[in-house]
Amino acid sequence: MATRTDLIDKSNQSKNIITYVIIGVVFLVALWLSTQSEGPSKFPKEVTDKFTFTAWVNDGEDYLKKNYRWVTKIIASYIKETYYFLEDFLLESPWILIAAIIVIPCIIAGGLRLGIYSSFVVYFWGATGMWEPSLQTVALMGLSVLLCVFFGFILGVLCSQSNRFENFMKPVLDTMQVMPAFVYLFPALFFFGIGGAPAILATMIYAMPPIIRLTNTGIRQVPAQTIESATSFGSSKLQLLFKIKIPLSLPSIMMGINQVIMMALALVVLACFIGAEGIGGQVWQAIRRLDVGWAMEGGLCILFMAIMFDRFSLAFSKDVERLPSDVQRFYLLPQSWEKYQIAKILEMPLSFGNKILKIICQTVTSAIAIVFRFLVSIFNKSTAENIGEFISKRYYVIPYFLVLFLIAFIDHYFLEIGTFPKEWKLSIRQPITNAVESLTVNPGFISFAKGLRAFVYLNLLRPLDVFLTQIPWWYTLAVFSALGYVTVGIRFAIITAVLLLFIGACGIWTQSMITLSSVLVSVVLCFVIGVPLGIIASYNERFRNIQNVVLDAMQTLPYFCYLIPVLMFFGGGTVSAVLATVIYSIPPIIRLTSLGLTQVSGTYSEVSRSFGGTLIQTLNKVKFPLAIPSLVIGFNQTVIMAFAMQIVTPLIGGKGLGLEVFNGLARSDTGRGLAAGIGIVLLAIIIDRITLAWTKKQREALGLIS
Amino acid sequence: MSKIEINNVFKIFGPKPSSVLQMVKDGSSKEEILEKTGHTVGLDNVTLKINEGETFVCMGLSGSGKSTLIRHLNRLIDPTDGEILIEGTNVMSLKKEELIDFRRHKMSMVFQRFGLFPHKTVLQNVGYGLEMQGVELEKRNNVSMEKIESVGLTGFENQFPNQLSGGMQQRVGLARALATDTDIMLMDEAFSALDPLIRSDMQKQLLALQSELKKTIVFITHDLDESLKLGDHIGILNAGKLVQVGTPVDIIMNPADDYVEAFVKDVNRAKVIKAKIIMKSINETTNEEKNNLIKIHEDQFIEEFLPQVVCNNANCEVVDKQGNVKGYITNKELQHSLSKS
Repeated sequence: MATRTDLIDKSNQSKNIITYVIIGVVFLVALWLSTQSEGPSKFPKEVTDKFTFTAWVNDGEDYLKKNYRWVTKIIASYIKETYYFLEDFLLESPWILIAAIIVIPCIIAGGLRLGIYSSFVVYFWGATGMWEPSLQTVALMGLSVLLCVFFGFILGVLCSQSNRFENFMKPVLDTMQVMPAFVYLFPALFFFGIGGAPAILATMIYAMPPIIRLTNTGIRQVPAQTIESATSFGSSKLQLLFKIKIPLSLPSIMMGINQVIMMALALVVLACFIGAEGIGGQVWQAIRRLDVGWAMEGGLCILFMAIMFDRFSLAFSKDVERLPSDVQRFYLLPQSWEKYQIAKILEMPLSFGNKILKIICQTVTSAIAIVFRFLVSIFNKSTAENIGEFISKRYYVIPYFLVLFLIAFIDHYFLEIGTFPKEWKLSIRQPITNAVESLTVNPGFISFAKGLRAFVYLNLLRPLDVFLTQIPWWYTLAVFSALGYVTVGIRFAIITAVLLLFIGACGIWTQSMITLSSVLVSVVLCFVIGVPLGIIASYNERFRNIQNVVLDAMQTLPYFCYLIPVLMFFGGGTVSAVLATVIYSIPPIIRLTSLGLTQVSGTYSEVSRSFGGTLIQTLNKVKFPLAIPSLVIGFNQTVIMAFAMQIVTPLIGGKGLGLEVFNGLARSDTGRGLAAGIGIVLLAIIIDRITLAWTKKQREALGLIS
Repeated sequence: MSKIEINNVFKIFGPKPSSVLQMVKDGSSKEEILEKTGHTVGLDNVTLKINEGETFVCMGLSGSGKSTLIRHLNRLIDPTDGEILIEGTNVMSLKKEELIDFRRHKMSMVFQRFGLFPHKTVLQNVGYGLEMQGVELEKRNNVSMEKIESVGLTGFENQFPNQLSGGMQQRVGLARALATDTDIMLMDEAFSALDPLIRSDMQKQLLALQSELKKTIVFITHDLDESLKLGDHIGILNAGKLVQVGTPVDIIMNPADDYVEAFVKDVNRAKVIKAKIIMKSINETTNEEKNNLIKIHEDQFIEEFLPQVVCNNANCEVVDKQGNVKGYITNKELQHSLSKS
């Protein structure tokens, strides 16, 4: 028997040893090859000279411009006109009207707390002098969200009705979600030129996947029993869809809209690169002038706006779920404070005011309803009843429009309200600049920042850059294909090879390797920092709660905002680019580490404890191995986010493909930018597929999926 | 001295258990306390003794506190009040390192849903306790293989748990508990997740192993038949209170209260009661009743001799191994013992 177990052990161990030896050999050969090479590895010149992808793209663009520009021009002009109309309306309306348009819905949907917050946001826009750019951003975002929800909803319903259509859309949506936001700006620029219209169209397409997906799943998840009972009453297919399925999937659709809004905001901010106006442009200009205070102000505007829209749309989707009415009662202070007497007393006048307001609104609305009912009943009795009921049910919405009318009326006939009052302005630009300056001249901080930069650059970034760029391209290509073969299969190995050949033939091999190296360094740093934080969070509930709030806020932010603090404290350069990438892409790894560890069933750690396992032993031998699939998903998301970040890091000195994209845009050399953009996407897709396939295998091995 | 002694143990779940303790001691009911304070009473003044080498079955419905009780023995749960002595040592006084050492060497546990680690092979799972003890790999594997063989799973040692059927998985759980060779084995609803045929198979296997190993086993179950089959003594828990402790026959013949009575009502008594329990002594028996006799052994269950009695309309003469007459059983005794009071 002993010999048997020995044999078994040997076969297991030898398998591991073989794997490690192969990895070691592959690495050593790579190292040897890279030291042999004199400079960065280059693709054969004959190939890159012949494969002039850039020129082809530019020719194609010219051809399209010449022959089909009129089509796109028409579309663009319609969108442009709508946009200008909306922008004019927002910018020329009296500021109180704008404030009312934004704040009152927030109060209706999210209660007093969200109302107060939204008034603060509106005040902040005005106070910092970002009124116009903020409203431009809102206009761009609003239009794209409208279009996106309209088309996305239709596509989602179609998906839910036809399996064939769903199967067609699925890979499309998958690819769309891996693509960095920036990539969408190219085709838009390509077809629609510069300005607001391409920004709106690009945003519409970029933000569409979640609404399609969630409409589809929402409709498909309506319980079979419900459908059966509706059918038994003789509903037709269309009746079933519009009376049962869509109403029941509203919460899911609202979640989709929430995601659409967040994604749209992120891209609209970025759209400054193709000439759209808005806060993004302000921040960009500020960053280029190294005016930290200004950039910070713009960043805060975006941050506050993002949080406001997020909470607002979430509150709305909760409203659809119909919370019990007593949840609303404690709406300024947290519900959990209800047990404190003081909180109750404080809340009393508020809830009293709330009641009075509700009564007023209801009275006004029912008065209007009566008038309408009377007027319509002259022609048709039953429609009059319907209209009356329709109006009197909406006792918040109708007074809202009344208030808006009233404000507009007063502004027009009695007194000019005009733009945001100058006396209320309160710029925080200078204080921020001063504070940052005082910190950055602090010798302690300088040596810290210098040390960090030197460490990351000399020990991580530089060696890896040299290593990756100097390995001959065919070797790297072979290693990636082999990885693809081992994890996914022969087909993916071939695809990997073709994609990498494309990158090489475009003549951007070196830049790709630089991008890969900064992504790798960022991901390693994310791991080193994120995993311990995740472990702590999995053991300490209070820490976890605090962390979740921070991570939530971080994930609402558009990429842009991450550049600002890094720029403030570390200046520009490749290391700053890495640091910004780390900050942006760290949340998933923290979250999924703690999630993976807490999700390990309590039984396992109980078993381990019952056999006398210590805390460390239990973590090390039981919990961690079981959490690996979750960790790999975290790794995967972090990698994708790190790639996405590569496109904005050139703003603060990042190099590689991002810089190529940037230069392409700046010189309106579409071909060059597009090639580099595609390069980033391809690298991201390759790594995404490999890690996902590996997780799937891991999960199957652990029996976590049947 | 008893192997395990539990004295006046209370366990209360909730944010501030100690504040409620006095209320529980004063005799407030479980529902009352839940309503007034939001605390749940897990165990209410439990005292019991378990002897060395016996199988003690702790029985109750879900929520009666039986799983809570068993977790007190290796302190996966700490009591709110009371003391737990194992071989005379107060478990509550153990320091952290001592407790870990105690868990490694004194007790092993088998879990309801097996609790096998999905990322380890059968061999590694069985060796886990030894791994915690710090036993080196080769010895660990040898011992594990031995135990895998003893539960009849040779050939499966390199499979992963999810490749095995439920019954096989629980055998791995059993082997894992046996591997550390501890005196005490805790079995938390070990067979409840198995289907009836496999369950009775596992019960037989456990009885066979136990007759050889003579461990002290604390077995938790909600199944009365199982407890009657396995237990030397049975303790019945209801709402955290230990309502009766006794041998299987005690429990069936003299239920302590309505709760236990309701429990044992549907038991097939013929399967559980032995001849010697219901026979009357020689003196009490009249000569008439000594007619038409068949001989039965004193340790036979009623089930085994009942058909004979019915066919021949006979009375029974109960004898011991040597053939000495110990007593008699007439239709009256049979009727009395089999009827559901």
